Amino acid sequence: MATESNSEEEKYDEVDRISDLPDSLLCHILSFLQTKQTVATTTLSTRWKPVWTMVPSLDFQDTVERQQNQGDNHGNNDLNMMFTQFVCSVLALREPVPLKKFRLLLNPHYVIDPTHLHTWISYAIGHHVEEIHLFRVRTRTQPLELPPSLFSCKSLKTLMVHGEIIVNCASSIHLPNLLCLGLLRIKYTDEESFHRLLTGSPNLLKLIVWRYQQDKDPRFRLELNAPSLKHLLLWDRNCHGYLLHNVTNIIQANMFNLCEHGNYCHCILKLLRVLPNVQSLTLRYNKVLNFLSTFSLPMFNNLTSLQLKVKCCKWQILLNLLQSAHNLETLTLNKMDIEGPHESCWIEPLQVPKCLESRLQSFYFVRFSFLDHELELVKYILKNAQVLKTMGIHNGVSNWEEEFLIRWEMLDFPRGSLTCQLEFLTVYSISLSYYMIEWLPILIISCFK
Amino acid sequence: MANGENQNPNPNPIEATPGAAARTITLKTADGEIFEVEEAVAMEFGTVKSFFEDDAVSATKPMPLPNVSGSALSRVITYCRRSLEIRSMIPPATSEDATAAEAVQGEGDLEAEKAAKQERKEFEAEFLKDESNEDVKELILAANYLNIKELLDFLCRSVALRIQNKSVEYARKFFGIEGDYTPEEEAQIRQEYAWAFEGVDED
Repeated sequence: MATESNSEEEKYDEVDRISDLPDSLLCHILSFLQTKQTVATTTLSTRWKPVWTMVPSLDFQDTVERQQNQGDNHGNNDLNMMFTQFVCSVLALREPVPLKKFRLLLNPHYVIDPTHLHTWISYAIGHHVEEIHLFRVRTRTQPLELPPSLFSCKSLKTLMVHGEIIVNCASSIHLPNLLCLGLLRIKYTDEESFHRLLTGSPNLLKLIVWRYQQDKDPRFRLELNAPSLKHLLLWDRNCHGYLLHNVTNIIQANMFNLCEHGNYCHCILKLLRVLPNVQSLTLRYNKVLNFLSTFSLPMFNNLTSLQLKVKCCKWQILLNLLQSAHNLETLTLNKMDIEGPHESCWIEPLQVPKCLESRLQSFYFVRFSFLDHELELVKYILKNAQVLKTMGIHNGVSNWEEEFLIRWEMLDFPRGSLTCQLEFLTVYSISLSYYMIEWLPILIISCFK
Repeated sequence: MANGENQNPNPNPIEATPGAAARTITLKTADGEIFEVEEAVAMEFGTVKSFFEDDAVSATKPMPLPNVSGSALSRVITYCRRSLEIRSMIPPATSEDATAAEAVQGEGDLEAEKAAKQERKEFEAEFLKDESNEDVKELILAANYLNIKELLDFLCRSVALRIQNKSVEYARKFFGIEGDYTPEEEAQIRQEYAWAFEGVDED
């Protein structure tokens, strides 16, 4: 038993115990580190020299900072070449053991050679890879076509691609084990490509489609016929671009910014109508969604968790949703900003929504800015939610005096639920998911690790 | 020969079937300690599970575990018990759901899964708080021998986290590894895999 010196160093070993572990266990430990670091372990000692070659996953993340100013392009090119050289060496020197995961997180300054990407992906496929993640693929001229062998990889369970890639599924696709598919800011040659990709993935459970179409891009509809699908995330400015059918098994749906055009209420309603069994729903939109006039929402009998990510004063739809979701347990109103014009979007309903009476347990209000109608909503929910356990109010303004006064006021609001706890969160401590353009690759990585 | 029932902080053994008395399985460690473990927990050990599946052996005969010490087994049992509890917070999935759930984890957890994740995070942070590297190594070997995937992943991940983003020198010091390369050999390796050493903080 090694004697521990002082408290700061108590975790440091004086006797090497870890090197006693067999190769397989050392590999298992290293499999949780990036390849950059696993290769570096080769210098720990001669015992460690071959360990990295047997690690069953490859995770290349090029986060080495490049110089921003144009004058130092030389340095950037050197780093780019070093990275390419590294990946090639690793693939060449690695033992021929199966590869469970292959991840490439490229530097924004790195332009990939299509030949290299093809070689690297083919290596992964040839080693029975189960997960492939490609982020920030940038090409010199045209978007890159993925190798056809990728689309008949029997071992593939997860495929996440992001960057200047074009999906061209001319021939038949056969991905029998694909469970998770992420198509982030990529392009499609035509409607058929997307359709074939989905048809060729009959067991798909989770789909993320993030389309960022510029005006010059051809507009076509992506048809989604996926009876196996359970989780769906759509992020697109053009909701006309989707045709969903046979998706009644979806239990979790996130729709972000669908529609910036005229008749978007109708579009979103059409999408919501094909998701009757959804249990968890997140809607994020920039404009006013107002269903009070013509349309009515379908009943969401299985909806237990709802998050609305909206601009200030634009959450009229909240009441409709409360009235359609009798079994709602968790509600989050997440404001994106506190900008005006500040006009009321809350009207007290004539009848208390059923979910408030018997189901709602948690309510979170993010970026509460002490507007009158916001206070009204808080008051209403506190008064009528009979089984509410937690209400979390997150402060969106920094007027401490006002906040203090209103906090005191809120504590006196009549509460329908005796067990309700009121929390004031001044730190954004709720981990809500929201995808920002620059953060997307990092967030996705942490979600699919 | 030490003969004592395993005392652990959790007073509620998990019942194999509701209403029935919990069936226990007896395990005997390398240092002769006897442990009576609820069947549900013992079946988390792949080694134990296949032992009792392959052989129609009576569950009362103590199963020998020659590669595991009493102290390690005690910690392992604590972990598996708590892990089972946390898993029971999530509605049961069919077998195909369970394997698929691995690939689909993360973003988009339903409420029950989020709560379970939080509990697991807190429990795991507490579990390894006071363990020395030697203890962790013993646990890794035990989890590997007993074939408990979840525990093994957790332990290995924890060790990896201790040296994540740190330099080679730090890792050597942390694990007490004696470097035995000549300076020339080491310099050559560093040049060969130049990018691996680029931009790393000398900690």
